[in-house]
Amino acid sequence: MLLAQQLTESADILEVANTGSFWNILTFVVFTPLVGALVLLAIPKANQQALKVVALGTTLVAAGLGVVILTQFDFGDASAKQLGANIGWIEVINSRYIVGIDGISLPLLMLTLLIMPLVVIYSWNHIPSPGNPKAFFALQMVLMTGMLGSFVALDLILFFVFFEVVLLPMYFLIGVWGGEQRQYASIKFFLYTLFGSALMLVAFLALYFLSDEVLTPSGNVMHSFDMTLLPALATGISAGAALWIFGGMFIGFGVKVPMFPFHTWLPDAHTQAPTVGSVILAAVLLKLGTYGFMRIAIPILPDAAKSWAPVIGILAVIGIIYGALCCLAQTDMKRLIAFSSVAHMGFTMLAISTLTDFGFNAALFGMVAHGLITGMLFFLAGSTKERYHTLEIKRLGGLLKQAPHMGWIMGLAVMASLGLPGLAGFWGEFPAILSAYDPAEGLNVALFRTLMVIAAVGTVLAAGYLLWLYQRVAFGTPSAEFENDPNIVDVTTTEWIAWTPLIVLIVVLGMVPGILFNVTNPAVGVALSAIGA
Amino acid sequence: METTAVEYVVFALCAVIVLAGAFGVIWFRNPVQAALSLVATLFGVAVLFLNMNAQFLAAVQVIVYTGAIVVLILFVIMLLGVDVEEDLEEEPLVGQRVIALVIAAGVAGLVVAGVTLGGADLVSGARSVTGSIVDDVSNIEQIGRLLFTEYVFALEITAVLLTIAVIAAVVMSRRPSEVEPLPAENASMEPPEPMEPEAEEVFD
Amino acid sequence: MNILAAVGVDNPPLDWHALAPELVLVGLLAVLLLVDAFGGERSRWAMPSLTGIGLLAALIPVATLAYDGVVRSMFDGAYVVDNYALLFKALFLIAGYVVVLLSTNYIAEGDYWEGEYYQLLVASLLGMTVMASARDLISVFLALELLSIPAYMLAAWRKRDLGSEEAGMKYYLMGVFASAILLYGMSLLYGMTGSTLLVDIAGAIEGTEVPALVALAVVLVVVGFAFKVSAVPFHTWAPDTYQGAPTPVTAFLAVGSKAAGFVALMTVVLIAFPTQPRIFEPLIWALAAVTMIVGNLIALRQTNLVRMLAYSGVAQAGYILAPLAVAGVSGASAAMAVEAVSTYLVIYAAMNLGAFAVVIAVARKTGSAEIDSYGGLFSYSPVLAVCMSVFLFSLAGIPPLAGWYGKLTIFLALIEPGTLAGYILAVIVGLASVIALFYYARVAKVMFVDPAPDGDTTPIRVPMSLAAALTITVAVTLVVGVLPQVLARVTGAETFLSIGG
Repeated sequence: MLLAQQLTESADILEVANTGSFWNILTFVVFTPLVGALVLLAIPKANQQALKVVALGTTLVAAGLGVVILTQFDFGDASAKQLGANIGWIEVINSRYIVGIDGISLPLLMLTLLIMPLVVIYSWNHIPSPGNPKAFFALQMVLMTGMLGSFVALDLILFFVFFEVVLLPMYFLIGVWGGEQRQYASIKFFLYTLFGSALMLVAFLALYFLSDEVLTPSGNVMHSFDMTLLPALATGISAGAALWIFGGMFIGFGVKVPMFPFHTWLPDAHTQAPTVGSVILAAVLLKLGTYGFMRIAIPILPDAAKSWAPVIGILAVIGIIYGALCCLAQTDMKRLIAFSSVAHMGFTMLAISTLTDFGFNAALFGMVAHGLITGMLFFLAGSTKERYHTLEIKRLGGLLKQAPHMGWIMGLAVMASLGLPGLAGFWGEFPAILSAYDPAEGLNVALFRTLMVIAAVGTVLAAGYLLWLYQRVAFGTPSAEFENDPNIVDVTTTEWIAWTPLIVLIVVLGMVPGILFNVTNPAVGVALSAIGA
Repeated sequence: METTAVEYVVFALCAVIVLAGAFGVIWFRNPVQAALSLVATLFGVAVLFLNMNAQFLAAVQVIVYTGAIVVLILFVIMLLGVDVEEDLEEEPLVGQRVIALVIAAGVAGLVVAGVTLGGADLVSGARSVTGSIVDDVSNIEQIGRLLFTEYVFALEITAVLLTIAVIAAVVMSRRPSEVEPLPAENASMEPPEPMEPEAEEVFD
Repeated sequence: MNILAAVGVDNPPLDWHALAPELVLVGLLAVLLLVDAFGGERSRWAMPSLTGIGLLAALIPVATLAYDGVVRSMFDGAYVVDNYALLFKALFLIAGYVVVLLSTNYIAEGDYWEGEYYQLLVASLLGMTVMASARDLISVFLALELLSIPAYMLAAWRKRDLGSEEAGMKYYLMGVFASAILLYGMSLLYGMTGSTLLVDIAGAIEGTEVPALVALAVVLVVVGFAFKVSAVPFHTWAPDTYQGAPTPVTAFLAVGSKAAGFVALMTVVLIAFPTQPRIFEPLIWALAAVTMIVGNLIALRQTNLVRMLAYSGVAQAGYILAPLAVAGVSGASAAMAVEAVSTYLVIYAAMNLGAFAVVIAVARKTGSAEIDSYGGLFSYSPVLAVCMSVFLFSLAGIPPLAGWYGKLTIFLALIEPGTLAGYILAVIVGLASVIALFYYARVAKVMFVDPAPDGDTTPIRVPMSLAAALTITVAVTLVVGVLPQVLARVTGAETFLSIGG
């Protein structure tokens, strides 16, 4: 925090300029849900229809802005941070309101904008006990602002704030509208994530103080939180310090992913959360962790990333195998899907740990695909629970007979999840495994090839538990207790509306993966430029 | 100004008296005897002040502490009755005596270490760096000057402090019933409640 | 004409503008005394309004002084009015105003003497404003006594309640004990250096030949203040006092009194002892670490909300102490520590006063502060439940509520020096915050999920003054959380430290 004139002799100092204004398209899309939440608070509790309409309207407006973003986004220059702004926020620590999107964040932003309207539509007739749609939707809107903000923020502190904003609404969604064990699950989720983010914040601040300074628009020479500048500013950090800083971020993001030893909150949270909570959690929240690795940890500290890569790779593969084995042991459908998330995110992390273009592309595709597919599976689990009032696999059966459409949709989602070629899941899983064959320069090839083989075994296990699940739930005849249950109906209209976009995207991305890879590839190259891959 | 032999002797004598008095305060079971031991301590301190040429402080020490405060203490003791025996063997907190001993030993150790490790610089017998005792101006005048120049603000704050202390003392001694008689059922002493009585009870 | 001149003494130069906030408070005290004495029962209703107006009036000179921006120093530097002092004066006055708002209905509806209550409150606030400017041992000590003595009495204000009497008694005994320790340390400092001015003391003990005695003095002074700010292991009075005292007084003690203790600690440590980091750093480091861990762990087990807030306040004291543990590394780290402590105290005041405001509002209906009695609050008084959640999660440091920025400044101050001790303490702060979240979230869970314990779901009627207090505190908590820039740079750490030499 020295004045400029005191350091004028260092001519090569980076200069930061104010660009753009606060009122840009990204600001609008991020804060639209927050405005929606405020409108919801103003509507009386009794007027349920108005509440639902406002919630849906808000998400649709945001999604509409998302379409505008798609038209404005320069796909020819997907590696650049676009459509954003860079203006002052907390000037005393030079933390700035920096937003922008590139090929890495665009798909995740779009995923969020897609999932949220579907979630609201699904909730139309499925407000879980104890009701109160006003609070239910308002929390979802705040959650949405947090998620969108995390994907557009390019300042570490701004990112941290949005990253944490997500916690409270999710805590309440699980804690109030969840299953029997909701208290335990919600507080576990909260504590694990907060533990991770506390260490992450310490790492951010250490990075801030150890990296080089920049010249701010107001003429001060200060450290910077700017993610786009830090890769250049952080080159002077000693290797030992960088390892520790990366370690702090590793725990922060690793808890969120979740990676193997930190994963225990996930099955509980997923199982106890209301359906829409599970969907949001699986589709978007987990991606915040992997996104953090790709956007922050690895580009800024590439050398430390190389040292950590074997650890990440090994833990990822442990996650794959461990998740799959746990799936085989589950008796509860939702819990099984939750553990399958651990395994799938393991593939994503394995791809990230290779530190290659190919791996990062695979990871991004895997994130989007996992969001669509697992989101779909959780929707299905929720609807199953609604009909059968249980998710115990051994009591279910004959779904194809009782609700044929739903049975087929589940078949599709299961096939996509196990990585059947032609569906979206394949392009997340297969390239991820393949990427480990040829990791970035300097990484232990033998180790990564071993990991590749083990991960491939994981896909077999995945096929095993998913097919086993499908067989037990959809095939056969309904058990006696549900045979003539009038509750068990086929897919309802709201469900059709909520599910169709997901089904379409799963198929389209499976057939034409290029539409996504073309966006991510240039941006990934920039993120990894320091690795030299 | 060198310290004379007489001053050494006076200091040693007074130090013994001060310590003996302090020891007596905690040693005597009878509160009157304890209070009288306190007088010995305070007198010893007064003489120490004299020894350091601070006559005014010595006088204030005798008048205020011995003359007023100890007399007040004795009044209270006499009014409450000397015969009331407290069970000193009882330990409200488990192991409090042991802990107290440890802490006391620790503090004593700190003080002793502070003084002995400080070495010759401290107990050289030289005047304090303060050096404010000037022989040609009287003690009282020096204090008066300081109080009304450098420390005038502190003096005024002390005035406010004393005023508010008087108010606090008056409040403490007033009986609540003289102000607002409470309903009969609340008048009896109740076990402590975590919160205030029902706020709905409006008194006017 | 001038008596002093007649005896050959120079009239001490007085800057009336700089003294104006204190003078307004003294005037207010006099007005309250007179109105109470001559108005009697008929004037009871006017007391809170008069006090509130008086406190706001005292803010005017604070504002003009801040606008003026000149550092004013009187009595050879014993009394300094700079941005640092003005920030805290403003904080104390506004906090005092909020406490008046909290007290209005509570005191009027209970069995209390209103006149004396507000007089004591104003006197205590006067002590705090003096503390903000005090730069020598005598002013510091007098300010400490002036703010404490009325507070002892206020804690025992519910005279027929044994709990309240216990509260006052414990607070008094521990406070006097702490004063004695502090005074012992101060007398050693004076004996060694021959000056009561903090700046002179710093100069005199620099490179001193008697480090053992200096160490003893520093330890005694820090421990004396540690009682005041309820740092472990000197915290034992706090929970009983907080629980037993009338709730508005508890809020006052938890915010005003504690902040004043920190101001005094910070002033003395950073101005008188900056050359002695080897002594105060390890001591404060250990105090901070133990305070936040023990405070949080005990808070986990509380079933009474006020008691829980008391222990959480102990833990928060640990966070606030933490930056001072690395303040001696360099001038920059001292400045960051001052900024962190000041920022945190301001934010802490808003969120803690707000939490107590909700406690008072809810107790109007339930008559209880047990956590269980908050069951179903969201269903019958959603606004209060949401306000409480805002304060609790702000205390836990969750963005975008103000508490996160306070934590951030503490992390910044801890990490800036780049020392191992700083990093370890930062990690401890992080872990302690995670523990803390557990009990804050439990209260939220009770309010939002559990049913009302007695099935009584009539909404709570919140009186105007409480509503005003809630509005102020919620607004500060949200605005500072989203736009922390409003708080930045108001602390004037640089001038504060440069005055200190």
